[in-house]
Amino acid sequence: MRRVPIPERPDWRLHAARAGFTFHTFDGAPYWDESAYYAFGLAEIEDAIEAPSAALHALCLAFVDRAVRDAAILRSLRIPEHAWDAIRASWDRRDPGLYGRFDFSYGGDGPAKLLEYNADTPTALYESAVFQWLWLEDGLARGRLPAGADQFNTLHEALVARLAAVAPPEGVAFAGFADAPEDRGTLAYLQDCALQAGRAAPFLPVEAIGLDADGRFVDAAGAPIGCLFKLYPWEWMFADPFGRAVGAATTRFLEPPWKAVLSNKGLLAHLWAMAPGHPNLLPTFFEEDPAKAALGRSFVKKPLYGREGANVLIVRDGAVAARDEGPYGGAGYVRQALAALPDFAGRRALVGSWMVGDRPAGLCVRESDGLITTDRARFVPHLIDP
Amino acid sequence: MTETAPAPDADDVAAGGPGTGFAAARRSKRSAAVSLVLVAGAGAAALTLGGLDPSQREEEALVYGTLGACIAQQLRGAEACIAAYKTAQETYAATAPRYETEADCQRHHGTGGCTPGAQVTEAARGRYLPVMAAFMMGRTDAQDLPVQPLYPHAPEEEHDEAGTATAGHGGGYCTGAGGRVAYAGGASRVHVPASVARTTSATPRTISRGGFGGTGRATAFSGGSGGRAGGSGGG
Repeated sequence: MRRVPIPERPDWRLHAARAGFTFHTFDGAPYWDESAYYAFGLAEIEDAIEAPSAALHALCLAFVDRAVRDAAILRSLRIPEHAWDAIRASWDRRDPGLYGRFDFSYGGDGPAKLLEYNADTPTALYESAVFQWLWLEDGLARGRLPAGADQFNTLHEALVARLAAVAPPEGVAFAGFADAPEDRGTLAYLQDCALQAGRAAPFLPVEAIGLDADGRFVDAAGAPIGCLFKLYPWEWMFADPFGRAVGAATTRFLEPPWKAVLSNKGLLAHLWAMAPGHPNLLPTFFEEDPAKAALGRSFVKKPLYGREGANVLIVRDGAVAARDEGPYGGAGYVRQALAALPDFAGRRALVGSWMVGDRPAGLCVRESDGLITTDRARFVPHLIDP
Repeated sequence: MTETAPAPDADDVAAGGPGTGFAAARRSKRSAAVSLVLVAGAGAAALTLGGLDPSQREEEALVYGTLGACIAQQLRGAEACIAAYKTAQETYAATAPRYETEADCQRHHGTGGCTPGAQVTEAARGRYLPVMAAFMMGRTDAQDLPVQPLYPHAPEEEHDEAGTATAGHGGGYCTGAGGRVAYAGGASRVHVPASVARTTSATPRTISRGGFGGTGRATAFSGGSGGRAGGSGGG
């Protein structure tokens, strides 16, 4: 794994506009950054990222199977009791999931270490699946990139195929915040994939979801929603007033309620307990667990619920090395062994490994200036060496 | 937009595994093609245009606050106006949404948008109903649109297609089934999604809304991160 600086294409913003990539810059700061790329060897991709992702996903499913009927586990994850039936029922029905993203600390030396599993509402999807792919094709066509270079990125084909396999014939409503550009872009892309899978795919502002007297979720016109994709995490769904209506509703969800068990940093402590010493796992303990002392004076404290690095605290040799403020943390923390992100020319790279259904489907790299990958991180494309 | 990766060149062809006896093309690790039907070019805005999604197809309809306005405009004959108005009034009494409290009703229909149910029909005594602010009929008979009573829609719930709150809108209406009819004051001709124009409520429906989103608004939009504030994604 190498970081290769390269002049950015002078016309990449034009390419972005043509491809509908509307959120490549935030408040004047770049989010899409093609002034460099990451080059991987094929063995790094297949042996260090792809195979471990498949294995970790299988371990996660084994954990779900156990967690949905274990009150102590659900309580440890701070999942409210009123949600337990909906979670268990969705797992017992084997409601299919659509996608997720593992985040790894990986720098090409030693095994990738799992930092978290964004199994419920991951973003960075469109730029991974489409614009990164277009970047490679354009770079190959112009001879700017090494001839024969490849990319670990079957996301687009996998998403269309997965939606064709699991979305009901009447279609899927896609709900989220319409005024959050990155979320809207992610939803627009998934709507596009659903249309290509032959399904109707209307957008629905999350606040416009209605609940009728029969306990059915309905769209803005009052029509029952058969299948709802929500870019709105389950812990918020369950905390909202309608959260108690999920279990009795006939509406099916993407992601299904059982994903709440995975998209939770408490998962990391449970996985470590299930498979201590696993090469791709970091020792992790709930903050209340005295065993956390085993981590010593270097560790990362993370809120069970939280995203974009918010409220993460990194302690190295007993001193605070990094901290990101944010609105999360009221629901408890885990403490994870420190696996500092690899340093490439002063940048810290985070490797995201995409899952579609139960299969690894691609990779993305995001760069930060600090140890914590936040919402100020930049998306840097990757390729596989020829 | 469809872009297709070139076929693997000779360098990509490697021998198959031991014992297979075949030379297999090395499987590429990326999609062979990436196609976009909605997102390309126009961006997310294209998603709200008619035609892409059958539920978003539009019907031309007429909206009038009074029977007199309908007759005076002469787009439809006086008889059609009278019949539509009568149907709307009957439908209103039979199917207007019922609310337990005036506050519930006003949350959806705005201050001054509600009335005690007993003033409309004895069957709604003890509940609160929105006032019938207007009625909607088809531009032509051939459209075969159902006549619908329209109710005021509270400004704070008013969002445009992109979901952005449209401040200071005048005359936003909703149907009994909850569909919204954007109505710029003065114009009687409106274009409404077919799903709204053709979805009626045969019985009074009690649909509560706004039960999802509050936690996310309170958490993700609290600001201060300096980054891509807002939204739900675990980026």
